[in-house]
Amino acid sequence: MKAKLYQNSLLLIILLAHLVICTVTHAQIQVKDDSSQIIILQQPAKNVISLSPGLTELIYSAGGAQYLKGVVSYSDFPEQAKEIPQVGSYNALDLEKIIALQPDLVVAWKSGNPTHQVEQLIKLGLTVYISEPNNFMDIPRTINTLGKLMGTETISEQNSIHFINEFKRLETIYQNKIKSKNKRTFIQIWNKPVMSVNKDHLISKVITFCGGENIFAQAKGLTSAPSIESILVNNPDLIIATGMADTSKKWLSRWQQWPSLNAVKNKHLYAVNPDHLVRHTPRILLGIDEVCRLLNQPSPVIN
Amino acid sequence: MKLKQHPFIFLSSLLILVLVSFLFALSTGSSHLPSQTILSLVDGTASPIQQSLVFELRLPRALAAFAAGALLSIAGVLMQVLLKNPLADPYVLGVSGGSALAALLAMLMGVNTFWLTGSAFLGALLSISLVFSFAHSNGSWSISRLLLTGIILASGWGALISFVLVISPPEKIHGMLFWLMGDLSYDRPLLPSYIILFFGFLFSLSISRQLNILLWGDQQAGSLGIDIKRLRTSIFFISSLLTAGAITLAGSIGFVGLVIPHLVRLIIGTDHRLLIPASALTGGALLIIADTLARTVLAPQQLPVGVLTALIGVPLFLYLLRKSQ
Repeated sequence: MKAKLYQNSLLLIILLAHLVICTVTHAQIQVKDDSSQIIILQQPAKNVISLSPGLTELIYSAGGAQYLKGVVSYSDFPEQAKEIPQVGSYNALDLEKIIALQPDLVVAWKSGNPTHQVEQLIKLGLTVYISEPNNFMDIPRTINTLGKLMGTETISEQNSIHFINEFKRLETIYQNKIKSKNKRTFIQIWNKPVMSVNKDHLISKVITFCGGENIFAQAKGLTSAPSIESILVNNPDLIIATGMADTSKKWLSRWQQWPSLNAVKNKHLYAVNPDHLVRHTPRILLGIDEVCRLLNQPSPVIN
Repeated sequence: MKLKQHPFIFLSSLLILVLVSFLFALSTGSSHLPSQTILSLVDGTASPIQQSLVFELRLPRALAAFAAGALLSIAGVLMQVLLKNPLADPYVLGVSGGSALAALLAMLMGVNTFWLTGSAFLGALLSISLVFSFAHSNGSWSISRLLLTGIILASGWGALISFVLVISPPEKIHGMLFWLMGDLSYDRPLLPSYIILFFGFLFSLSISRQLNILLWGDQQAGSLGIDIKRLRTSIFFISSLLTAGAITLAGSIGFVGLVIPHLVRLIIGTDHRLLIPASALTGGALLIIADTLARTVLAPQQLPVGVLTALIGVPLFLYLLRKSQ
C-alpha cells in the first residue's frame, strides 16, 4: 500500500516536472514591453498588427515585412505599407477588424491608442506589446525587441546596429561644433494659431542634439500656442517650420514683418520635412542630419 | 390616430423593432459574417473568432446602446414635464457638463476605464447636487430658478471643458471629442446602468398618472391632492440619475433625449403611462441602429454614435411632424 502511494507520488512528480520543462522549453520568446508587462510567445509571431504609423516603420526595420497583416491609417512608410489592410486609425481602432485578422501579436502605442480599446484587446485574449518610445535609443531597442518577437533577429540586429552607428557618427560630427551652441530656436509646428512644442517633443530633442536651444522648452504642454509677443521677446536666432510641403514657406513669410528678429535679420528661417521629425523611427536620422546642418550654417556677415 | 386606442399593439410592435435592431447590430460589422455562420452561432458550431466577434464585441455594444437610449429617452420625458418646456433635454441642467468635465480630466490623467467611468458618474452626481442646492437654497422651488441655475452651471462646465481641451496634448483630444459626442466603444460594466434603468423606469411608470395631471398646471394638480414640491424633487432626482447612468455608459450622446419624447408624442399623444415605455423602447432601438451604423458605414474608420443619432433622427422627426399636421 505504502509502496504504491510512493510510486504514485513519484509518478506525479515526474509528470509535473515534465510539464514544467515542457512549458519552459515551449515558452521560447519572452520580452518586457514599455508598460513593464512580460510578453510571452510560444513561437515567433507571424500575424502582426501595428497600431501606429511609427510602429509600422519599426516593424519593417525589424524585418517583419511579410508578417505585418494589419496597420492603421496614415501608415505611409515604407511605400508597401499602404497596401496592407487597415484596422482603423490610431486613435479610433476597429476592434472587429483586428479580431477577424486573428493576430498572434498586436503592437500598440501607449500614449496614442485609446487606453480603453487596448485594454479590451488584452481582455479578448490577444497578445499586445505596448510600445512608448521616448528617446533616440528607444528606436534600436524597440527594433531589436520586435525582431525577437517575430524571430527575425538577423535583420533587426543588423538594422539596430546600423542605426546606432549612424547616430554616433552624427553625434561626433555635430556635438563637437561650438558654433551652434545655444542657438536659440523657435520651432513652429502650426501657423494659425502659431504653435510650438516643449522639451519633451521629438523635434525639440533633435534641436538639443544639434546644439540648439528650444525657446519654449519649458512650456507646460507638449504642444502650446505661445503669443507672438512672447516669440518676439525671446528673439530666436533661428525659426524652423515643420509644415507640409510648401505651407512652411507661407508660415515663415509672416516673420518678415519683424526685421529686428535675429532669425529674420540673419535669414535663418528654415522649412524642414516633418515626415522625418515626428516619428520615433530610423528616419529620424535624416531629420537630425537636416536640422543639424541648418543649425550649423554660418551666419552671413552683417555690417 | 388609431394607435392611441391600441397601446398594447403599439408597444409590442416597438418591442419587435427593438429585437430587429438587436439582430441588425449582431449581424452587421466591419468584418462580414455570412448568414450560415449566424445560424451556426445559435447551435454553437461557429468558430471561436466568430463567437468572440458577435458575443464579445457586438452584443455588449448593442446592450450598452439600448440602455443608453432608453435612459436618455425617459430622462427627456421627465425633464420636459419638470421644466414645462419642450426644449428641455436631459443635459439642460448641466448633468452632462459636470460628468464630461470629470471624464475629460480622467482622460487627461490617463487612467483606466474603471476610473474613467467612476469619475464620469461622480461628476454627474456633483453637478446634480450643485444644481439642487442652489436652486433650492431659499426653500422655494420655482421652475425658472431651477432652469436658470442649471443653464448657468452648464455654461460654467462648458467653459471648463473648453479649457481642458485647450491644455490637453493633441493625441488625447480625439478621444475627448468622441466622449463629448457620445461614444459606445468603451467596454464598460453594463449592470449598474441596467439597474438604474430598471428602477428609474419602474419609478417613472409609477408616477405617470401624476405626470399627466401635472401637465394641466400646478393649481389643478394641487387641488387634486398632489404634493407638487415633493413630486418635482423626485422627478428632478430620477431624471438626473437616469442621465448620469446614460452618460457614464456612452458619453454625452446628443439628440436622443430631446427628440425621442417629442417623436413618440407625435404618434401616441401625451399619456405618460404609454409615453414612458414607448420612449424607452424607441430611444433604445434608435441608438442600437445608430451605433451599428457608426461602427460600419465608414469602416475601418470609426465614428462617434452622436453623429449618427441626429442624422437618422432629424429626417424621421420632420417626416412625422409633417404627417401630424
